[in-house]
Amino acid sequence: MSRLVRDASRRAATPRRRFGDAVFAWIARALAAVAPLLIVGIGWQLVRGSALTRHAFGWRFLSSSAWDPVFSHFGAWPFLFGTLVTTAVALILAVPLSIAVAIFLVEQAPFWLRGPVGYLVELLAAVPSVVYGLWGIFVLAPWLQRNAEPWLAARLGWLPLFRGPAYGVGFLAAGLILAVMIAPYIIGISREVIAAVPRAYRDGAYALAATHWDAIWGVVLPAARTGIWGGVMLGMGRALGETMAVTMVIGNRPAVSASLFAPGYTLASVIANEFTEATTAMYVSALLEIGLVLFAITLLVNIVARVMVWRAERRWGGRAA
Amino acid sequence: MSDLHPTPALARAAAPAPPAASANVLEARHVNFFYGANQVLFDISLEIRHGEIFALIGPSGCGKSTFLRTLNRMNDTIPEARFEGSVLLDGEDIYAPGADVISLRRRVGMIFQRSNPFPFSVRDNVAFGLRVNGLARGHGEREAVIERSLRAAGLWDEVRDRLDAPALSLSGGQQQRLCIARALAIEPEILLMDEPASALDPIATGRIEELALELKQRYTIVIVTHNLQQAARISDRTAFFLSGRLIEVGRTQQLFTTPARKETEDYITGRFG
Ligand SMILES: Nc1ncnc2c1ncn2[C@@H]1O[C@H](COP(=O)(O)OP(=O)(O)O)[C@@H](O)[C@H]1O
Ligand SMILES: [Mg+2]
Repeated sequence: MSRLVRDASRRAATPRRRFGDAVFAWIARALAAVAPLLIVGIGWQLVRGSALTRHAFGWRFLSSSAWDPVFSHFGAWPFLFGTLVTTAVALILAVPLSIAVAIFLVEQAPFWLRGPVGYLVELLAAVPSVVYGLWGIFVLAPWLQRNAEPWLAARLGWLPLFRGPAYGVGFLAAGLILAVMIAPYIIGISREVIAAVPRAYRDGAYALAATHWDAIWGVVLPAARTGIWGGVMLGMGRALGETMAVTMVIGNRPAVSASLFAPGYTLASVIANEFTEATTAMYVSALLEIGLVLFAITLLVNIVARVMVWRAERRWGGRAA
Repeated sequence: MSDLHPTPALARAAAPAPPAASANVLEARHVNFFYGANQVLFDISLEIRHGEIFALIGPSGCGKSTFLRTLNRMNDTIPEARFEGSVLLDGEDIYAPGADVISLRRRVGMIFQRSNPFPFSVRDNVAFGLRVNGLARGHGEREAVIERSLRAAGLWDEVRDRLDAPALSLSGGQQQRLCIARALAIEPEILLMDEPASALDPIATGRIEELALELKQRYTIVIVTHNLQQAARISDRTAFFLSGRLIEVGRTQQLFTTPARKETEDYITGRFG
C-alpha cells in the first residue's frame, strides 16, 4: 500500500522535480555570477567616487601625511602606515605561534585533545570583533599601559619600536588584538594542509632514520609550505581590513610614529569613524579613495592566498584547505 | 664498480665472512603482532642470513608488510598497534627497552611499495638522510655521496643533468630507484623492500630486480613480493606466509620445486598454473 503511494508520488513528482532542478541551477548560476559582478561594481564605484581627490593629489595622496578636512588637505599616509604596521605586528606574533599550534594539533597532541582544542580554536574565529574590541579596551590596553609596555621599554628600549610614553591604546594593542583574531584562520588552514601531507612522506623520512622533529621540519612543513602561506595570506587579508576591534584600541590619531606604544589610525578605522562627518565632496572623495586603497590591497592579498592554496591542493591531489 | 663504493659500511660488508654464529643478521623470535584487537602475525620465527636476498611471499593480507615493518620498527608509528616477541639484529634485541630506533633505522633501510620521493629536488631527496643523520657535512663530500648513491641505484646517468629537477617529475621506475638511492646514501647494512616493483611496468621491474641482484654484493636484502616469478628469479631463500602464519621457509629453489607443505604447493601451483 505505502509502496504504491510512494511509487505514484515519485512518478508525479518527476517532471516537477526536473523543473525545480532547473530553477535551482539557474538561481545558483545567477548567484555565482553576482559575486564577481559585485567586486567589479564596488571597485568601479570606488574609482569613480574618488575622482576628485585622485585628480587633486595624484599619487601624493598615498605619501602625504596632511589630513585636514577643514582646508581640504588630504593625505592617507598615516592610515596606510597604521594598517601596514598593525598587520605586520599581528603577523609577526600570530604566524609562528599559529603554525606551532597547528603542528602540535596534528603531530603531537594526544588524540583525545585534538578534537576539543581544534573546536575551541574555531570558536575563537566566531567571536564578534566588537567583543574583541571591548576586551581590548578594558583588559588589554590597561595591562599594556601598566605592565607590558614599561617592561618592554625597560628591556628593549634601545629599539625605537619600544620607546616613548606608554599609552596602552596604539599600534601594539591593535596588532595584538589582530593577532588573536587572525590566529584561528592560520591555525585552521595550517592544520588541514599539514594533516593532508601524505603519510608516505612521513614514513619515508622515518625510514631514513629521521626523528619525529626531523620529519616535521624537514619534510612535512616544506611539503605543506604553500598551503600554510595561503593561510597566512588569508589571515593577512583579515588583519588589513579588520575595522571594529582596531578602531576601538588603536587610539585614532592620524600620526606616524616609530614607537609601537603610540596611538595611530588605520585605513579601515578612519573610514568607519569619519564618513558621517564627511560633508564636503572632497572629504567624501578622500574617504572613498582610502576605501579604494584598502580594497585593492585586500583583494590582491586574497587572490594571492587563494592561488597558493589552490596550487597546494592541486599538487597533492587532495583536499588541502 | 668497486670505486663507487669506498664507504665504511661497504668495507665492513666486504670484509672476511664473520664467524658462523653471527651469520644471521636478523632473527625474529616468536613474533606476534596486533592492530588493536586484531592479531595479524602469529608466532613468527625466522632468520635472515648475512648477504642473502630473502623473499617473503604469500597472498595479499597475510601479513608480509606488517612483518617486514617489524624489522625496522616502522610499525611504531601506528597507534593502537602492539608487538610481542623479539627481533635480534646482530644478536641484539631491537625491541629491548632503551634500544635506539634511530640508529636501528640507520642500519636497516626501507623501500616502500609505492615510491615516495619527497616533493623536493632529486639532489635534496638523496641529501635528506645525510642531513638528518649529520653525515657528509662538507659540500664536496655530500655531492660525492649523492653521486655515489645515485650510481649505485643505477640512476646517475639519467639524472646527472637534472639533479635540481623535482623528484616528482621523474618516471615511476626512476622515482623508485631514487628512493633506493636515498636509502643507500646513509649506508645501511640491510635493505627492506616492500613490493618495490608492484607499481611498475615490466621494464622498470626488470631494472629493479637487476639492481637488487647487484646490491646483494653489499647488502642483505629482505624483499616482499606477490610476484612468485620475481621471488624465484632473485632470492636465495623464501618464506611463505599464510593468514599471519609462517608456513614454510627454505632455499628458494627447493621451496618452489619441492615444497614441504601442502599449503605452499597449493599457493605456488595455483599461481603458476
Ligand atoms: N595500519 C593498519 N591498521 C589496521 N590493520 C592493518 C593495518 N595495516 C594492515 N592491517 C591489516 O593487517 C593484515 C595484514 O596486512 P599486511 O601486512 O599489509 O599484509 P600484506 O602485506 O601481506 O598484504 C591485513 O588484514 C590488513 O588489513
Ligand atoms: Mg603489503
